[in-house]
Amino acid sequence: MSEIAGTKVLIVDDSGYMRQVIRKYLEPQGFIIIGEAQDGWEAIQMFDELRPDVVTMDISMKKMGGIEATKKIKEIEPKAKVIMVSALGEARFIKEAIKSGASDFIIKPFAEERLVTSITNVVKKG
Amino acid sequence: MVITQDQEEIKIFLDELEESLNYLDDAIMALEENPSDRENIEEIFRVAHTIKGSAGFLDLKNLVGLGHAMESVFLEFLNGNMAVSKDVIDTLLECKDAIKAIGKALGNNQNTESIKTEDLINKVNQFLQAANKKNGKSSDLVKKVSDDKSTVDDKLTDNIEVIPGTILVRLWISPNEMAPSIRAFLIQKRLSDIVEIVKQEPSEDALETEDFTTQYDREIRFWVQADVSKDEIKKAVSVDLIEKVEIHEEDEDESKEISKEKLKTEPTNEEKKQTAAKSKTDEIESSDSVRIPVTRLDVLLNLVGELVIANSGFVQIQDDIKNIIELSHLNRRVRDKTRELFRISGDIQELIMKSRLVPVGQLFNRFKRFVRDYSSKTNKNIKLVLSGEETEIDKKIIDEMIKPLTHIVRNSVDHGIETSDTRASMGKPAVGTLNLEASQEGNYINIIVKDDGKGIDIEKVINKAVTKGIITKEEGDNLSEEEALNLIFHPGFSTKDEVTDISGRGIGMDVVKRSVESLNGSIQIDSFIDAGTTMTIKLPLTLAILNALIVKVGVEKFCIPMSTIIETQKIDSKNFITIEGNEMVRLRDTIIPIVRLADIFDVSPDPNFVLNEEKSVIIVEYNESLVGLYVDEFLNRQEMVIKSLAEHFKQIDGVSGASILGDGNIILILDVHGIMKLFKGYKEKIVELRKQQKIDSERLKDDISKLKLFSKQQSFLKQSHIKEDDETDLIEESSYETEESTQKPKIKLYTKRQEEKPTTDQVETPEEVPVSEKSAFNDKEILETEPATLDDFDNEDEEIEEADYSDLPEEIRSRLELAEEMQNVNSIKKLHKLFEPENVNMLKQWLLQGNTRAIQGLQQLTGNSEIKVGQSRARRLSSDKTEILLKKLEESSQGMISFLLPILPLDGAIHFILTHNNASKIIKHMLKTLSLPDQEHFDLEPLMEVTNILGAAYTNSLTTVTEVMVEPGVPEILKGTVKIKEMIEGKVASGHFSLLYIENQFLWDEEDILAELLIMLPEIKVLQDNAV
Repeated sequence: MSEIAGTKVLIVDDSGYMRQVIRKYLEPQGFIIIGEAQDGWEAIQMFDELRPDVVTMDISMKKMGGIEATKKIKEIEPKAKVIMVSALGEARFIKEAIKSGASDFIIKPFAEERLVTSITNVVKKG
Repeated sequence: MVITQDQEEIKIFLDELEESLNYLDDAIMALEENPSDRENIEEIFRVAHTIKGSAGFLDLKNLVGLGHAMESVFLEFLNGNMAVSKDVIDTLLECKDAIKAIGKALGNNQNTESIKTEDLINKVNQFLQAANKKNGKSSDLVKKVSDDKSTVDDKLTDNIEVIPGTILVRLWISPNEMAPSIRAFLIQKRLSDIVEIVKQEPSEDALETEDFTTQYDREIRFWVQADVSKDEIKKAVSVDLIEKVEIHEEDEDESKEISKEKLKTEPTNEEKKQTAAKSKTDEIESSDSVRIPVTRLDVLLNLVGELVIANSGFVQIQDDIKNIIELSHLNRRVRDKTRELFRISGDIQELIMKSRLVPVGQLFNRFKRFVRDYSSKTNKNIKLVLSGEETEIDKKIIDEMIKPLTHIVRNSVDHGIETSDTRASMGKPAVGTLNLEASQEGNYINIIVKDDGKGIDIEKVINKAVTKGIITKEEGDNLSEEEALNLIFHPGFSTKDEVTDISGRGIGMDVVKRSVESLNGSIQIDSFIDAGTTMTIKLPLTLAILNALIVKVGVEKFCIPMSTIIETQKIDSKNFITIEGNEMVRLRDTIIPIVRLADIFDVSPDPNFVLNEEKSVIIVEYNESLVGLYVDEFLNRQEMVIKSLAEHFKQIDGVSGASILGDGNIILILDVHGIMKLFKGYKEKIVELRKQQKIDSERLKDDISKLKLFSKQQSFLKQSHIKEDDETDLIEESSYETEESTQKPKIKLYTKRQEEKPTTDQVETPEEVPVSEKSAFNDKEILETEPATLDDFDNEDEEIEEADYSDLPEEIRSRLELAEEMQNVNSIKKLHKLFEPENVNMLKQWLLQGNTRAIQGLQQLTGNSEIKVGQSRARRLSSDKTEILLKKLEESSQGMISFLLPILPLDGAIHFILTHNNASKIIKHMLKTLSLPDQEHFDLEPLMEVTNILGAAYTNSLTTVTEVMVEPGVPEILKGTVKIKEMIEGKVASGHFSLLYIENQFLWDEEDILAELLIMLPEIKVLQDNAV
């Protein structure tokens, strides 16, 4: 836990509930939620401003979706770590996101452990 | 070779060989087009390897040699030592042809060694040597790690390939991963960022295109060429949900075991062992399908036909006892069981017929090679474009269509498409296009052969026809374009004098037409000068079922295929005239000859038949002109299951087959061409023919009685039931067919609903299970124990037919076709299958899967593992029946909430409709699970997540079941009954949507949480409207 304590996470999700869930899972582990974005456009702004270590990215959002946002974020910072958070049935999108440079993906609904392990792996090993 | 092999074994080998060869044909040519398609090369390599292996068992030395030679070439391709060139491809195709010849010899019990392969193998060797010389090394053979190493057991079962110069990375995905293919995709991406992937399992394509619905092993393998360390590779693949990683570096010793000499020798024992192991694995992999000879299916179909008939006997019995047994409940039980039996046997019949269907691609693919060879032989450049290859049609029709279609294709490439130079000078693209298209249209499939060549010169056709004496000059002047074009179907007509290598000999278009018609199909020709020619062949889906008119002729009954009938007429006797001794009838403006079937078949008149002023005449077409068949009476139209006839029976002119009526009586199916053949002779030499006919008809009668006897022996039921020549039987039978079509065997796939279709209110609806009834069923049980509720479908509208564009003008049709492509009509059609009653199982499967996944999601979100699925009930709602749903919404005093999830890429939607109370209950639980504070004001926000997850569960399962890639769009929540109603009413009012309404019970702590699922899919006609 100590290794990852202090890791800065940006949560991107159009569902406030979902953002709450992620926050709820991560904060006790020592992650720092440095921001919450409600759509892709907001995500890009906040990424540029806050430079988080990891972004959890929802896929289907109004305004700008998660894939486009991921692409833009990777343009801003090629080393950015983005984890896609998505429901089943969006395989094509997830694959597209992976192609655009997403580091991992998590299928909703997920358990706390899944989210934490995924972020830990991504942060530790790139 | 010594032929001691079990014949059965050889047969299986030959069957497989044929399949492999068909595959090779395509694959090798595809390779020419796309030489860098590694996967294709690998697959060809595998197929060649399999051929070689199996041939080894049969001791077919020359076949083994060829297989090995091909294999070596592909290996060189794979290793990048040899470039794909036209010469090599030609040689490979020659090898393939030689293999085919050997197979043929084997099938005919001839000496396979007589087929010389040395030259061919030498040729291949030259290529190989050239490649090796160029690369300054010997060819590396892929070596399997399956020899006598210490790890033999482990490796033999795994059968892992070693690719020299690569590192093998094996990974195991955790079973907890719900989307293993995306996980594999992620690994692939991450690996490819740091190393070069030489090969992988599953293939890149598979990962790209397949959804996680694919159940491959959780192990994935990558063969990589790396300059990086093992650790770096390990790091790259260290993501969550990967259980185990193994990295194998190349074993130097093994890779050096290269055998250059092997090419000329037969396979070693060791190799044989490998292929044995391999083919064994293949067997296991494909064990979910078995080969069934078509003949066996025929027998099966025949037996089921008997079953259906036996069943109709039951109905009759039930009808008879109805009057005797007063105990109505008993009677009802008998009736119910009889109906059940009827339904089941109908289903079996349908299934067997379906299993005879094969994709038209099997037929089309033959032409790839043909067109390619033709192009290279002449200075024409022709591109073959196939579409609709997946359209399915009876195997027998495919077989029968090979020759006629070959002829048409030949005509197109030979006479139709011009040379590149000519085309260029005309401003056409130098490459000519030949389209082969197949599509389904109701009970028929259309095969279209379309070229963009020079078209048919109508003037020339007319002149030729006049010269050949087919028509007079005067007639020629008065022909319409269509009539003139149809002249090419006249016997002996040929538009080109010189005979070329490709076409111009053998059968003419008249034979093509005849062949198509003998399959109960039709052919139509359209041609525009300089723009090309289109041949449209319409064929029935199956030969096993015939839509026919039953007629009475004297004491006999015959059936006449509907496809041959132009119209039926009741004609007053005063319109019958005699011209030069020939009986004719006045029909509207024309006079047509009359053929009395009673004369042709020498049937005795029925003494009880009352002559009527109105004569029954069936108008048919023969050689482009109309003929009237005179019968006593039209009885009824019916779907007949065609019975196979004894060999000698098939030779009788005028009879194409037989069927059995519901009363067990045999009925002959008439063939118009044969009848006319008989009739022509009848006209010419009446006396002689009479004699001959007597013999024919005597034989016919003899056969009829034999068949009757046979059928009596076959079926005990018929024995007890048959009342030979009993008129009333048939009439009752037919009235039963028409009035009680719920009992009719279901052959829906092939038959459009008949006009006699009962209106829905006449049909008894199965008792409804009250939705509020509490149920402790789990999801699995419900769908197995309550299938009857899904039968609701039978009573709803069933008019989901393939879009029928045939009646539309060409211009609109082509625009529609374009629209189809653009708007995914095919996908919609596939999705619409869910609505079809015969696909109830598909629906069930979808619900089962969707429910299971939805429940998993709900359980996790709410932290309540007690949530279960209760009953599921589905029905199709036609637009006038939505009140059921709307009323339900209205009745709910609590107000409803709908989670609306668009189905992409279509304009469809899934609604998950809940009461307000239940929705808030779910939210409460969700918040509680996360120990979040309860809401002060009711806020639907958390439900977005439920929508996401439930929607994904159902759309994803939809993809699995229908194989149509659908994805959920951005979810919406419709709050309040009014809004939901408005939305549904809006869609319904547009008349553009099909609605599938599913009531699902989600049980939670002994309480019902009733949710309705509503699927809305755009109707196909919407697209038409948009396009037009």
